Amino acid sequence: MPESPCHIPALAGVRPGRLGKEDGAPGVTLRALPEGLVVLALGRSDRKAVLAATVSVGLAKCSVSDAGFEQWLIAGDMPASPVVLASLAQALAGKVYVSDQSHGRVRIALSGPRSMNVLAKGCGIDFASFTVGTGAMTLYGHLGCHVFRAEETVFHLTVLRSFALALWDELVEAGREFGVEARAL
Amino acid sequence: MASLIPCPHCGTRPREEFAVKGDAAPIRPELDAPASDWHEYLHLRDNPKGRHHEFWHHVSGCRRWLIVERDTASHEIYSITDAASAKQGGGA
Ligand SMILES: [Zn+2]
Repeated sequence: MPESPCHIPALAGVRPGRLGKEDGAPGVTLRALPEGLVVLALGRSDRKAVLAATVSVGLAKCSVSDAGFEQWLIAGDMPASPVVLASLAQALAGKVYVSDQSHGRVRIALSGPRSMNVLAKGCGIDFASFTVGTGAMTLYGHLGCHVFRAEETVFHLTVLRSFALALWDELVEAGREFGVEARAL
Repeated sequence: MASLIPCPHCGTRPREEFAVKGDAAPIRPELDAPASDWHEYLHLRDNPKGRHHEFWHHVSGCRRWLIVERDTASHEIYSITDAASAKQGGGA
């Protein structure tokens, strides 16, 4: 039998629908984001310069956020084609190194009026100063992840691929008391 | 253990995000230093009560090594710097 590897998204198996508290509008919505482009950029630079380079290669729809000292996470829904990655590396060459993490990290969007309550159950970050556009590496429970505040009540959590389902389940458990609307890919 | 560590790069974070390596004072001997020097460097540690300089690694944050000046009795933190930057002569 010939081998025919096919890509199965890490969150392909999650159960969609309403979970936890059943009445009223859901407090949080969980959404598996497309397994698109995830790149870690490292070097002596700043977020503005990395953002400018990202925009210059046609990736204006990507988010660029802090991911630690002299590190930034570039993420978006578009496919991480070799051509795009090469042009991104070219645009940052000399100052910043890029490491393609598209195969290794998975993004989950947590949104809704109680999203910050769900985050606060697992994260030690002070969200009072975590403005829209801010990103940080942290823990959710015992799972290392990157948190990005995309909008006022929309957070993107980026986690190692093999931990994606565990993080999803933890977020569901944390959100049950508020009502969870789960959306698969 | 101090339950909150003010990382110079990430801000105040819970200690679960960190790994502590211990005393930051010992200086690594030269490769050809006598065995007694290596024994002291590797195995012998004071266990002071009070102010102490320690290496802490922000494993689940910026992944930088930090030098934390901490009171081992009260858990109060007096100073915190980036270990690599300090070695290069800079601050945090
Ligand atoms: Zn840190």
